[in-house]
Amino acid sequence: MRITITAVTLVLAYTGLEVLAAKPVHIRGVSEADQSLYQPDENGNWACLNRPDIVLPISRVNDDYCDCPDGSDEPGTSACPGAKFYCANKGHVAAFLPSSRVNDGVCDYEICCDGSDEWAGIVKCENKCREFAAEYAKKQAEIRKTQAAGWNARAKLVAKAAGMRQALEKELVQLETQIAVSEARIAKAREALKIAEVQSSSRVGTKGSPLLGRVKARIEQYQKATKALAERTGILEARLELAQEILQRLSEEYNPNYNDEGVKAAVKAYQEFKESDPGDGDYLHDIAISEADDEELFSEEEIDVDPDVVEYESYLPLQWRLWIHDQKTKLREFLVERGLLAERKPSGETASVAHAKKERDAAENQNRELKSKRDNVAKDLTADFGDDDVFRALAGECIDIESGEFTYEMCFNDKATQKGKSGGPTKLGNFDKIDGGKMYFTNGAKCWNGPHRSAVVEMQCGEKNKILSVSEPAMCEYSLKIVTPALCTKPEAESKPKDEL
Amino acid sequence: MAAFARKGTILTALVFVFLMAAPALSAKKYLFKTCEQAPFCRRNRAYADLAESKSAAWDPPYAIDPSTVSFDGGVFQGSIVKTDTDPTSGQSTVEFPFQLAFLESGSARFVVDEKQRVQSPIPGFPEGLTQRRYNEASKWAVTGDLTPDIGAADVTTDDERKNDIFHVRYGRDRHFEAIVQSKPLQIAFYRDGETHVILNDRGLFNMDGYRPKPTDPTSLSDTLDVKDMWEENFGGKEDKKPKGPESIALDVTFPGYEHVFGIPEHADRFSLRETRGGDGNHDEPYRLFNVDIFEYEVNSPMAMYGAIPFMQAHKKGSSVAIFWANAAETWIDITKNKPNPEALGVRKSTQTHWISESGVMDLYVMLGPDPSSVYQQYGLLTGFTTLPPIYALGYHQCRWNYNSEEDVLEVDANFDLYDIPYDAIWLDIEYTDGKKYFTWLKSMFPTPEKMMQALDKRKRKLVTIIDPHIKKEAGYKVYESLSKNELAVKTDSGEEFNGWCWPGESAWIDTLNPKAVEYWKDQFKIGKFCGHESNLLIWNDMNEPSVFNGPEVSAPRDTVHYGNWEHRDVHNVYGLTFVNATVQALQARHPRHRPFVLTRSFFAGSQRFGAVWTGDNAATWDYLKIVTPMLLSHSVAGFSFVGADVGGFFGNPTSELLTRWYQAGAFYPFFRGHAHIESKRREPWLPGEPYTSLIRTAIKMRYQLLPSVYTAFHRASFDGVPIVRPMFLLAPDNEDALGIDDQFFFGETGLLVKPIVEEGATSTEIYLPDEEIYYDYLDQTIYKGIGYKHIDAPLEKIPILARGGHIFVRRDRYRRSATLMSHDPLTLVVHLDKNGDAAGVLYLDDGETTAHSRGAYLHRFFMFNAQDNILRSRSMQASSAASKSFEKSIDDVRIEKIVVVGLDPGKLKNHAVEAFQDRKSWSTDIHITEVAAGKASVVTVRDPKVLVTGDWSIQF
Repeated sequence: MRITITAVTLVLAYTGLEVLAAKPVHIRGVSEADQSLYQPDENGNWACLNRPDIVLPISRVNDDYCDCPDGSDEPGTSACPGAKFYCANKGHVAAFLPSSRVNDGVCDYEICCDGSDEWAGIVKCENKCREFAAEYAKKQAEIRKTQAAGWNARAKLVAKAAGMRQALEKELVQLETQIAVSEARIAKAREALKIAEVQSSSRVGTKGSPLLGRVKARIEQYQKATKALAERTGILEARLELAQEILQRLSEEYNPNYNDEGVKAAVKAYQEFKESDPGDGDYLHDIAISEADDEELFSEEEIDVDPDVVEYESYLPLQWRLWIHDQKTKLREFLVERGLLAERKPSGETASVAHAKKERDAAENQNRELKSKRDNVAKDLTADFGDDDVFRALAGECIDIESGEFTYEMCFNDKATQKGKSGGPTKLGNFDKIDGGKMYFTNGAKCWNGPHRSAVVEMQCGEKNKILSVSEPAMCEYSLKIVTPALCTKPEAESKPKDEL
Repeated sequence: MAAFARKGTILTALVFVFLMAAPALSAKKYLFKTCEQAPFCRRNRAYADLAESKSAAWDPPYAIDPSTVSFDGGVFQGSIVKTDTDPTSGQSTVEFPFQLAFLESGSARFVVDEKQRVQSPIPGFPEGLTQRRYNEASKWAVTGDLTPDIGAADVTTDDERKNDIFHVRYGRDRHFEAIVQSKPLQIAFYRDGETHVILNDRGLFNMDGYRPKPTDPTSLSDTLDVKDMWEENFGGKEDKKPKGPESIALDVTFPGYEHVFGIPEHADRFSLRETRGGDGNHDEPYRLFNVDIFEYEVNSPMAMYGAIPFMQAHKKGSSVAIFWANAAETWIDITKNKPNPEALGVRKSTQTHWISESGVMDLYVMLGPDPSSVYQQYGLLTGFTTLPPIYALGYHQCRWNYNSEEDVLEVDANFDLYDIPYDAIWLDIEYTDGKKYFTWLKSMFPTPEKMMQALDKRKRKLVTIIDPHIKKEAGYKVYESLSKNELAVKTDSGEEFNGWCWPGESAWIDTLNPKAVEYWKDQFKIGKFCGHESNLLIWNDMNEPSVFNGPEVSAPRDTVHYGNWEHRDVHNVYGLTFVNATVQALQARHPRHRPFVLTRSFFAGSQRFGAVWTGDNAATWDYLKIVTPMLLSHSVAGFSFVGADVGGFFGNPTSELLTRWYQAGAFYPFFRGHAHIESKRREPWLPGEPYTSLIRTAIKMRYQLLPSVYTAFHRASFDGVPIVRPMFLLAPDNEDALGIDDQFFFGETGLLVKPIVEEGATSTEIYLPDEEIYYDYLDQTIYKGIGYKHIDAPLEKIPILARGGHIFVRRDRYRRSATLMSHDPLTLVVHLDKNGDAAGVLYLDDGETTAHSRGAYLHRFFMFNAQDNILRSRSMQASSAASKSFEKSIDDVRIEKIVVVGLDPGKLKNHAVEAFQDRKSWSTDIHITEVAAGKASVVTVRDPKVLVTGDWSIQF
């Protein structure tokens, strides 16, 4: 039942004092500590707390009319916007409620467990501080427990991460040494190969002339074939363009509201098709080169390649021979690559060349592998794994949750994925960064008619890694809430039991 | 798209293709008919062209047979006979009986039917269809009293009678006259001796009489083309047209009127454009045909989601209107001509041509004389705006979609966290299990009742969407019951009609059928849907109806409804019947609560059921700009409770656009933010500062004005004066203001609001339509004199001027929802007019139940009198037990503050005023602002301690 308060009784009800009463009177909505701020002067006047120039009779404090621009004259009513109402919440934690929630008919127990905010009686709010305090204590204990356990778990992670870092650093040093050794080996192998090749070169290429004849015939064959292919490609491209035009028109003019799954699927597939275009500029460029340059090259070859030329080589200084050898090798590789020349058969090589080559290739491969390993280790060492490097220990570890029709999986510092009951997984994003307690995953699978999927993982302290919830606040933008020991902070020393006033 | 040159690299081509695919917002025009593609429109337009080309020699074939006429009990009736030879039927005459009734409510009603379709069965008439022309548009639209006025007097003189003329005086004080002429057929309406409306002025009256389909189509010949008369095909979809051509058409002239308004819904100017080409004009007629128009265009006469065939004509000193009660597809051509183009000073007249596909001709003529009389006359026919529950006037937060209970409650909590009031959170289609209405997607909404209870803690509501398409799925009880009881729309062969919508294959409930309404009530029953919760509101979408695979995205015209009417006959009223069913269902669920239903589709009369919004707009400035003229068009056509998606449905608004849209939206009668599923989240706290604070300020301003918004709705609910008011309502004699549609007066407040709709604007020009004094609402700068005034409008300012002479009421305390404000004290805001007077009204009730209909409300009148400097509060209602009991429930509500703008401080004796109530008097303090140059003084009465429930006076 509502209590009716007429205007005349309001003033008394709100402040409950005679202006000149000797005994200090309790001001509603003000904490014990601040009660002294509401002492009238000897004339019974009082000034707004932040506006000493505005002076009011003390009777205008809590008279349900806002006089002070800072709202300080109405701590106990809803009259001033922005004012704060103090709930003592005896037996629990005292708190401030925005005064716009005073006497609005809602028991704001979350802040005022004592129900003191609804003093006008629009609703009756019984004091629930006892149960709130019990609940709060229970929750605090749980939080402390979680924090303590989480902090311990985190310490283990940090230790593990430090160990991992140490191992990586050690590995890096080793790799650098190995790389230096391998580079020396390469230099040696290359030198050996060159010498072996030059020494055996007089026996190679003397049969140049018949070979060239065959090459020429082959070239003519290929040129014919290339031309035919180019024509065919032209026709196909024209048809592809036509088909694209048709699909383009469809994708622009169809009505998405029709919900015709067939049309939607077609439009989606077309957009994906466009997205996945490999780009064929290079291919055209290649065709152009092969058509224009080949003839020139071969006409030169025909004129210049005299069987004797090869012979001359043996009279040239070694450096020159090596240079000519290089050029020839390059030309040959060029021809082989384009299928104009058969790859030189190993049988054409002398055993010593083959052996030298093998050694060189092995040395180079080893070097490549070592460098790549080193780069990875170096990258790993400089990557951001959060404070104390803690996520280094978690990287690659995955947790998942079922939500709606999907299972969502999140792998620390790696990727986030959505898996349906049927069909393949959809990538929500690759790891991008850690920032302010959030792990960002970006550049996931593209959405139809939308952006690439992405996910933001909000992390909080927990004893174990666990996904709490998944949502999709905007289409294709996912939000995950997880707990992980990685986010735990050192628990403060247990606070003293609360004041039981 | 042109073919790409072979030589160009494909890469370039692909880049170009990609650019072309960038989203450009334009309606899928090819989906919707032009007049040329609608055979009956094409024929009647050609008929008009023929008449025009013959000019004075035009001899239309229709005339009243004088031997058939009679006048009795306020009704003049007889037969119109078409006498030329129709080659398609061989008949030489067709008879069209008419009635011209003069109603007690002051309107005149002209009904024309077709004799052969009323009489004995026509051999060969399609089985399974009603033989009559559809005559129930008025049944759905008109709830008012249609009793003829037996006082209407035949005043025909002998001379007139000799010329086959009938002359009647009718209406209050017999101010109105009608003169009916038999050949050429013409009906002219006069008020106080002056002509205001002429029917068939240009001789375009035309009705297609029933003819069986000729066996030899080649025998057809006509002066007009006869293509597609018995069947047609549009967009690959066949219309069997079993009844053949049955169109009706009539021209209506408003002599001396240069501006006409209304016929929503179109995304166009408020003052309607000409439609026969020319600079700034349209080439197409305005079309009324309810369609789910995807990405509609602005400044277009294309049909949209709703149709109100009501048109108002206004000129200095006079307002008149007509209502064309027809639910079939309708086209309206508008031209404006001078009778003699050479004549100086002769006013233009507006000529209109109304063309409908089927049905009887049923036209109402309202003669004003002023705008509010027109709205009252129209409201007495089609009903007034329902008085909504007050929380429906707060801010609504919607999105396609809030995805789960957690999502909903998080958004709810964020409103409190960011200190922004709101009243209802909305769920679009994704809350359902597979788009099956009345079900929940349990994985996301496992405990909807608990969610609703959580919202109810702060007196907030949940709005769920319920559409008319019912998924065809075995085991889905809602469908099975609909299907088993044959309550769905049927095909022409009597089977259940199935088409595609959100859920895939669906059936459409036929809410023309009273049994379907009962079935619908059953679905909403307490315990069956949303448990026992009472904070459930409903959103009816897609009720044009939208049928994805149907012609023009709607139901085929040859489908059949209850009563054996073809869909073509009832198309534009279907959406109304669906909302009607939903409202009845909510009333049955909670008989003591006022229901709230939002609809997208509407017809004349839909204002009786709830709110409407302007459909799927987009997040660009153009769409913000078009809202104001659209609100005005809806408002004059009786639909006051209207709004537009704040922020724009499609796309992502910039923070500036979003802020400006909230500033405008705070003054939309229906105030809802909404966003498409593919757009980014944009709840008010997301744009960040300064935007969030500006949006909060705009929303709080709305809540502050709620008592006045509610009072304006109350007025609309009994006399039809809209909330969003055009200039001519307050300045009826200023013809220069008739074309102004980017500003409006807000309810009874006298606040002249000009939403900023330009990117980067920092100032604007507000047009003062009259010689009253205007004050800047926020800083009291004074403006005077008709014409444009420059006003600063940086992003933080909504340009609002307060017109002198108005008193309105605010609640200056902010709560978390409208209901939580109900015990808060009130602030009276007084802006004095140039004589120093002001007056205003306050309406209050419990804001949610139907108790107000039994007298449980408070209605007060305030006036400030310059002569004695006294502000008085007086009751405007008869005291009753109900009113007393309501007053008792708010006897703690006082006036905490009175703000008087424009009072000369020199007239005040001291810094106090005297208050009088209940034979007591006391003195109360005032505060006076110092008067700055160009600004008005503000006198604030501090806590006068007068109660809102009683009479009181304050002597300044």
